[in-house]
Amino acid sequence: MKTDFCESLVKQLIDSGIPGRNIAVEITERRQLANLAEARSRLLCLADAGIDIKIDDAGTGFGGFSYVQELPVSTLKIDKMFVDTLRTEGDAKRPVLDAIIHFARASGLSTIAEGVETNQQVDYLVKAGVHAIQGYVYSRPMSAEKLVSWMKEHEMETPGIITGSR
Amino acid sequence: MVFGKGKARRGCLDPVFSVQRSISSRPMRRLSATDMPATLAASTCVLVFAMCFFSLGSMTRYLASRALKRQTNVLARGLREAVTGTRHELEQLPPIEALNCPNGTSDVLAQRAFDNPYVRWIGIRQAGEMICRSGLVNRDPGPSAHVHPIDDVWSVELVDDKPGVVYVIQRRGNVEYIAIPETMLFDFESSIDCPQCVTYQVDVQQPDFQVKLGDWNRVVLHQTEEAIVGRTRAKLTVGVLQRYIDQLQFEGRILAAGMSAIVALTLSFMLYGLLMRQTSVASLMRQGLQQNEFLPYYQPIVDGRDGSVLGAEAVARWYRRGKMVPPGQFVPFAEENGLITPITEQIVKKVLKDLEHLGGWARIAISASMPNLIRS
Repeated sequence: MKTDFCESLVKQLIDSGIPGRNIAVEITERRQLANLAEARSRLLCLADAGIDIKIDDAGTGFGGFSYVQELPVSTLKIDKMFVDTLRTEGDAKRPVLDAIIHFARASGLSTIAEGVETNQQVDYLVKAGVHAIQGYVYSRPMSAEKLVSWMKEHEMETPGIITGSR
Repeated sequence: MVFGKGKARRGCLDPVFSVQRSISSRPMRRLSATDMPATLAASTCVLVFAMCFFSLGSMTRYLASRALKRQTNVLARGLREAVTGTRHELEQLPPIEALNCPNGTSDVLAQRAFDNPYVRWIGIRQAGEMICRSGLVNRDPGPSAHVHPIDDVWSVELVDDKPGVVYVIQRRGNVEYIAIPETMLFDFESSIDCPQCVTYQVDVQQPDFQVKLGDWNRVVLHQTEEAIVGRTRAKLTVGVLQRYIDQLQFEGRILAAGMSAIVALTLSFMLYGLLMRQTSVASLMRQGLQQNEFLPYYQPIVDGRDGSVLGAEAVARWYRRGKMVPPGQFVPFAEENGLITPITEQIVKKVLKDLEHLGGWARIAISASMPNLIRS
């Protein structure tokens, strides 16, 4: 009855004619990856279809980062918990944020900061090399229709940008 | 690189504006379960209460009536033995002429009263006067005694101010042989069965109370079936009126009702809590899956340098009965109940559909928990 997540996703992509590069899958490390070999083979299945794989809530789990290098992962998503440390000076978790960013750069991984709420946070993150920003500073989650109209509005407000250029 | 940066963040993307818009357009509310768990809990409460009340009530009634019947049997047997033994003793006594009664006391009577375990005292009355007795003390019941005739020869007398004494009387012409049976030794040990049953207090003056000793095989000291005969140390004839039994049962029912209510309320509250926490949310989610209620919302991912849109993350939303359920209120339950996989499938389908409209630029990230990936 149940089918494999990867196989069913790939089949749906083929059926709808959508290339795999339009899709990314975020896996959370909140639960430990008990069977690394199993996880690896499943993620390779996705990667083979051109699907990008991102680690969600990076740094909040128990596994550390050692496993990341064994998995076909392209991006670390930095959890709001660490982005929040930019609100207060001398926050104890700030070094962890810096360490995650440093680790990502050293490992050739991209980064996305989640839960970004202020322009000050954006400035800090951009300076630190985290260019991809997600959070209320730009928009809350919204429906697909809203996203389309938000895009138009956003393009008008920031002339000259080409969406999806990267 | 710096181009457009300031504009991008101060224009329509002002965070305050964005929050306000989102609040006014999509009011969120707490996930309110349907009435099902409450109804179920309430009906369980009623059912448990009825069952408890019924069983406890009938148990109280059963215990009370059993205690009363057992005591009635024991005491009736004791009374029957005492009266029968006394009667045999009186039948075997020689006629008054054969007794030597110089000082109003007879050695023969004294010996018989001493030898026979049923008899405490024997006296002979002629024309209302005590002419011969087993001991020095005159225990004549006197003319004020209540006489309960059994037949032409035998009768029982009771005296108001001596409730601990029964007089058995044999008529021989104009002479009456009177004996006091040894009182029945019986201690009520009924406090376990029926805490209210210790002080059965007979009121012989009650109009519905009668003494019937006609049938020795069935000694009934009460006109109703539920009667009890007994004694305490101070008083002999003890019985229970029907209304006392009714009262006992009523009290038992009140007690049963209270206990039933406590048990039923406790159980149904526990059930209600359990249902609210687990079953209801899980079943609502199953309904939601059937009704196709799960859908993706998109949060854009923006390049902080120039404001260009890099993609979006699809996050799970549950659009239920015209309201948006926040993910924090169903995602943990979905993970607990193994529903995260079908929910993800439903959302992925919609993401792929949305992608057709969004165009080739879009990079949509879908969250998948590891069980989703690994379990097949």
